[in-house]
Amino acid sequence: MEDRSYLAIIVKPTYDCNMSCEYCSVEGHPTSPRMSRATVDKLFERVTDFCGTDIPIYLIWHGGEPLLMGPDFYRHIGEKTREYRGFNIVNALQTNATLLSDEFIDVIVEHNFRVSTSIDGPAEIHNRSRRDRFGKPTFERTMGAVARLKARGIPVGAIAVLTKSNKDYMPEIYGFFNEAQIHLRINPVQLHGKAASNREDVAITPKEYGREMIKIFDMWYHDPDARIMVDPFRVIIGNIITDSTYSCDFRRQCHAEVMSVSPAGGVYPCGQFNGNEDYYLGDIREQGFDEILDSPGMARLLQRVPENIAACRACRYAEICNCGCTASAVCRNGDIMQPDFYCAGRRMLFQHIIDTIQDNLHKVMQFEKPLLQAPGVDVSAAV
Amino acid sequence: MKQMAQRGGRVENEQIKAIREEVERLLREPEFEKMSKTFVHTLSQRLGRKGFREGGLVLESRAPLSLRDVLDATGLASPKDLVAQWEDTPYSYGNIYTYSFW
Repeated sequence: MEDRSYLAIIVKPTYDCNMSCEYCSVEGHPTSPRMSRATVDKLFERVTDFCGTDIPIYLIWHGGEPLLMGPDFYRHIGEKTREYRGFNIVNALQTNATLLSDEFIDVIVEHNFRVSTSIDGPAEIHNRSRRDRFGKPTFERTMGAVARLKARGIPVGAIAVLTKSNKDYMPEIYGFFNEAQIHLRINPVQLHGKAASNREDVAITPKEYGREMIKIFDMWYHDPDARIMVDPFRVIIGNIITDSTYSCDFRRQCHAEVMSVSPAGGVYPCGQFNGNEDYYLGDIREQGFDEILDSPGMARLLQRVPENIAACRACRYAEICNCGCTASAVCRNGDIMQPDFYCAGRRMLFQHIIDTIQDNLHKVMQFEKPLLQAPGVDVSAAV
Repeated sequence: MKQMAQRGGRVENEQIKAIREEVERLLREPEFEKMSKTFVHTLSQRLGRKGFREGGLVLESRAPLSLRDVLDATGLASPKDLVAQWEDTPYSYGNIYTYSFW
């Protein structure tokens, strides 16, 4: 990895969650400790030592459900961020938002946390897959929290997971988010953890992924009333029109820039691998990120580039895809040295977007210009 | 026409190459050149037309902008011409700062 644009750490302060989504990739951890404040303090020390003041540091507080840690935990994080003023630290929460109290919102506002939530579409679609521990629907609670955040001036983005249960509802899903004016990132279900156990109920094929994503791309791209950004489309367009890749799942050697820390301080390649001891890279309580990047485990991960994978070497989309997502690749048989599980669908989508924009570049540049300037950060696929 | 060429052991996608060349050419056009100098750029006309901010302007940046940056980029004469509202794009975790004006 020659040029580091940023360091993003997906921090899992707990694996516990108050929800039980049918496609969860986290559930199944035998123990679920909570991150101590000493570990938080060590994390700040490690990331600032590693990045200095020039390289942006993104701390994405994830889980499990990160709000289970309580508002004081995040108040402490906000205070640590102030303590490290002069460093370029951005805190973000990826939360189901169902536990979002007014006290939490006060902390978010005071300490400038960014917020992204998970919504799978309108109520009847969302509630099929995203229920709480007691089997109760969560749509109203999540949307109520979004409304309260917006009322306090906090914009909220959402990740929607494309699964068997919502794949036939692309018009409804796009219409819902556009009407609600919630920026959207659509991720295919990753068959880890509970999702792997529920494969029959949640899995989609790569070609189904490609077909449905093309549908929603067309709805968004050609919609004269589009009010939202939809990813990964915008990042794919950015990958095509520049020679840089923007989203972690398309970024060459993403693992050198995106790592994940467990409640106890263990370091893993990204959120999808967190807690999987086969991918353990080190421990922030004992090692700095320089040492972790020099570990044999990281060296193996950094070998995952198109030149080293036969199918990717021969692929005409390799420069905009870079083998796709490692966590997705290992869904097949555990081997990282193969293309993304959704490769066939991604290739369909890439070609469709290329064909769509090539005669219309003037229009594309009207809304994609930021991507022409410099690479950005999007690790939504890694959480 | 979709063509492929082998270069250095990797497949080169001629269609993507052609798109990038055209983007480079467009960037030299006055309309884009002015906006590409410092930060940026705009979602303005597209989103304005689409009613996101009817008649408004949206600027994006990788770093926080000063009002001076905005005035330079837009060619607007005075801060009085602008009413600004801070926004950002949380789905990309904050690397892009978005400013809306109307």
